[in-house]
This record gives sequence, structure tokens and C-alpha cells, in this order.
Amino acid sequence: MDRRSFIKNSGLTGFLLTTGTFPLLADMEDPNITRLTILHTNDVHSRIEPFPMDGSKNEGLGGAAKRATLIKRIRKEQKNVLLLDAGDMFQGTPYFNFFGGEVEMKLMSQMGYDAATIGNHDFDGGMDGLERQLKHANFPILISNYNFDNTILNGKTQEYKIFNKDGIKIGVFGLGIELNGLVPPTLYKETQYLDPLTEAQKYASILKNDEKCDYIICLSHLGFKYGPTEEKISDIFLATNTQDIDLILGGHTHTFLKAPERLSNKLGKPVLINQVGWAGIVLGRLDIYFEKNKKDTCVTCKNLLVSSNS
Amino acid sequence: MKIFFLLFIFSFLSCTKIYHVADVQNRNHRIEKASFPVDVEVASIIEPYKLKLEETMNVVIGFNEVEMTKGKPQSSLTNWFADALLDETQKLVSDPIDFAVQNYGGIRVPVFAKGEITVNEIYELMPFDNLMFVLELKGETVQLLFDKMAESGGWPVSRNVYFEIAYGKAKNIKIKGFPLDLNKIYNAAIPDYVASGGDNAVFLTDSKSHNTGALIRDMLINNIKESHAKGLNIKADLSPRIIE
Repeated sequence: MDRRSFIKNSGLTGFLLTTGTFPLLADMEDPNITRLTILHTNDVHSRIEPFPMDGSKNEGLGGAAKRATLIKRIRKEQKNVLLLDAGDMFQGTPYFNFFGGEVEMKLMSQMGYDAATIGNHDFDGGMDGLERQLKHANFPILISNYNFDNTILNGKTQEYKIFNKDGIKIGVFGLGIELNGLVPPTLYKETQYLDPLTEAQKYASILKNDEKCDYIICLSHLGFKYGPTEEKISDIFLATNTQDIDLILGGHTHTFLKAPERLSNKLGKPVLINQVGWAGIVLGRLDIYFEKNKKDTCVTCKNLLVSSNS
Repeated sequence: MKIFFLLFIFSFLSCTKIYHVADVQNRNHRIEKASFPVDVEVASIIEPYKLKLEETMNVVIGFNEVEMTKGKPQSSLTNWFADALLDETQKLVSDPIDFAVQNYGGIRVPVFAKGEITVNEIYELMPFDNLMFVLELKGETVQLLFDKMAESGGWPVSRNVYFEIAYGKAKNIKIKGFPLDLNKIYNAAIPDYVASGGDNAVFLTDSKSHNTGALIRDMLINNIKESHAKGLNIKADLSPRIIE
């Protein structure tokens, strides 16, 4: 069996199992193939417990304790897991009104989140509130286009972080949405918003060229897509107008994508965007297969990564 | 130059291998009611917070007669919400309030279930700690506000407003039954979020404003409690306000 068809088959087998995975023999068999499992959430909005059983559309869905079980199962099956959140962890249930985000941060820490970015609602408790809650987080907050120099958050966030999984260097950076007009200035205070396109390209280049990352992920709270009259930068715009980004994990627009959007970047190279709605109803998952080989040789590479949309 | 040349030769000879992205497989896991058991460790972190919340949250404060849904240009839920804000604001100020407006995005549930209403449901409906402001708006600013509402397909507005949406603008505006007077000053009940320019309502920030000090959520809770005390269920007034 060649590698290509094996991967295809294992994917099919996985589909039939509870968590969609199987200890991949292919990964172990072939030392040149490494699998990275990326798990992600966005706009969880303090949905600590599942939606109440009140006859509404979402009743019984989500819940941190069930998500934790799923994450643990996947970690048992997969060696290389990255767990990320694209912002708006806060606001939406009384857990936030009463405890200010403490529960959200403690649970994400317990579940082993590797990083998160900041959404507009994460400012709802003000700068002091956010600063207080960061103490309960054992994972970094990644944000490259908010300048916090004149605020209480100065030095408490990072632009990016590099993760090393089985020799693969994965660079992750964060992007936030424009706060003016969306969040009262009394909440975000002296936070300066920087152009996400400029910052994205700057940090993607640093991760690619200086840090020599093999894979670059943008955690974005910009929103998936906007209408032609709205002058807002979306993930779609970001994907097609930058280079060096491999994957955008998005949020803000609460978009349930059935499958990741596949687009071509400025240089015609593939970029993926994924977003999983809101409230922790869905845990997003992407399994990336890396083949270690010479620069111009790749036996198992598939062309389907190149955009077939539009 | 020499060094550069040597480096070039070196990198060529070393035949450095890189990681190619060979394939990407996607499967998003939906967390259904029966899909996974709860994780004991996470559940034990939640437990003390949950108990503390339940003491306050599970209290029944009244009854909803018919299921209400959120929609544009108007709907049962948005009508009821705006009317409750109008009535509650009027209780707090002596000047007559001409109308109440709530931003559409501020209402956080699509459906408000029929039957018993708990404090928890009101938190779900209105999680934000927004305060009610009373703004003195010139007629022309009211026009701008209603145009903004028309452009976005309709926002929750109280029963004393009527207008039609034509090409994204508010036409044939009536307030308390009278056509909008561009030179008059109107008293509008508007949450601080919008009054301070949120949802791109920047044109409101120059108007004179008074803080009632009341949380929107508390106003809704009071409204339901008072109806309940009178033996009444809450129910939306479906009179026409915004017509497409």
C-alpha cells in the first residue's frame, strides 16, 4: 500500500470511530510523515455548561466538561496536539457576570489550551478585569495588533509563540478586531489598535524567515467575511492579501463552517480558514500531515489544498 | 563574498530537508447531549461556582404567555423588550419618554421560551451590564438613528414609534402618532452602549444624556416581577412599528 492511499483510508476509518481518529500506523511506519492535530474553539462566550434543556434550538449542546473528555481522548490517540482559541472566551452566561471570567480561564487551563487570542468581549470586564483573569490562565494570550504599552496589560501578552512538535516548528500569532465603535473606550482605555493586515504580514514574515517555522497559524478575531459595503478586514481578505500564513483559525462572526475554506494567498499558495460557530458547540479539528523531504520533493503531497472555490 | 559562496555551497551539499504540508484532514466534532461523558476534573472545578449561581438564578420571577422570537424588522421578542425598557425608564424619570431603542445585537437569544421565567433566562437574554441612558435628541438626530436602524433591517423599538424602511432609510416616521418634527427635542431611552457610540452610532455622542443608573437587565427583571405581582403573564404587543 502506498502512503497516499493509506492516509486516505485511515481518514475513512477514523470517520467511523467516536473521535474520528485511530492510532495512525502510517505515522509510525513512515518516519518521514508526522501528523499534527490542531484543535480549536472560538466565541465560547462563557458557555461553561451545555445549553439548558428549554426546548430551544441549541438545547443540550456544548459544555466544558464534555469538551474536556473529547480533548483527553484525542490526546490519548495523538502525540502532537495543539489546542487553540480565537477569542471571545467571555460574556454570555451568568458565570461571567458573577465571576468575571475566572471560571473560563481555570477550565481552559485545566483542558490544556496552548494559546488564545483576545476577542472584543474579552474587554467586557474592562482592562482591570482582563488583567485579573489572566492570572488564572496558564497559557499565553497572543495578540499582535493591540498595543498595550500604556495600559495595565503591558508585557502581559505576546505577539506570537512558537511550538515545537516532533521537530516541526509551528508559529502562532494573534489578531484582534477594531475596538472603536464596538467596545466602549472606557473598557479598552489606552489600547491602540494597529492595522491587522500590516501586523499579520510582519509577524508571518518573522515566523517564516527569522524563526524558520514550518507552519504558521493566525488566531484571528477579525470575522470570517463581510459584505461589500462594510469596510472591515475579514479572514478572507487577510488570507488572500498576505503570504506565509498556512492556516487562519477565526472567530467573531460565529460562523459554522462545514469544512475549512480553501483559498490562495497573494503568491497563489494555499491558505485554510476554519471557524466553528460559537458557544463550544463544536470543537474544530484539523489533522495536518507533514512529509519531511527535500525542498522540491514530496511523495504524498496532495493538490487538493489549492483553492478549488469560487 | 567568499563566505557567501561557501555558505551557498554548504547549503547545497547538505541537502536540507524541509517539512511539506502533504495533506490536511478536517473533522469538526459536534458536542451533542449524549456524545461524551463529563470529565470529572473539569466538572469538579465548575461545581462550587455552579452551586453559588443556582441559588440566585433558578428563582422563578414570572410567566411568559407565548414563545417569543427575535427577528427583523420587528418581532415579538424585540417588541416586548423595547416596551419593557420604555415602561421601566418612565418609572425612573419625570419627563415623558418619547420612545425606547435597543440595539439588535444586544439581545442575545433567538427564542424566549413560553412558561416560567427564571432570573437565569434574563441573564441569557441580556448578559451585558449595560445601563439605561435618557438622551435628548434633536429631530434630525432621531432621523439619523432611525435611518441607521432601517439600514440594518430594523432594531427593537417601543410601541410609540412607527416608520417604513425604503431603500435602507426610515420613511414616514411617526412618534406617538405625530410625524417626526426635525426641530423638536425628543427624550429617548437608549442603553449606554449605543449612547456612547457603540454599533457605529457615533452621531449620538454629541447629544445631552442622563444616566438613569439602572441596568437594562434589572429593568427587565423588575418588569416581569411587577407583572407577576399583578397576576399577569408577559406578552408581546405586536402593533406595527417598523414596516419593510
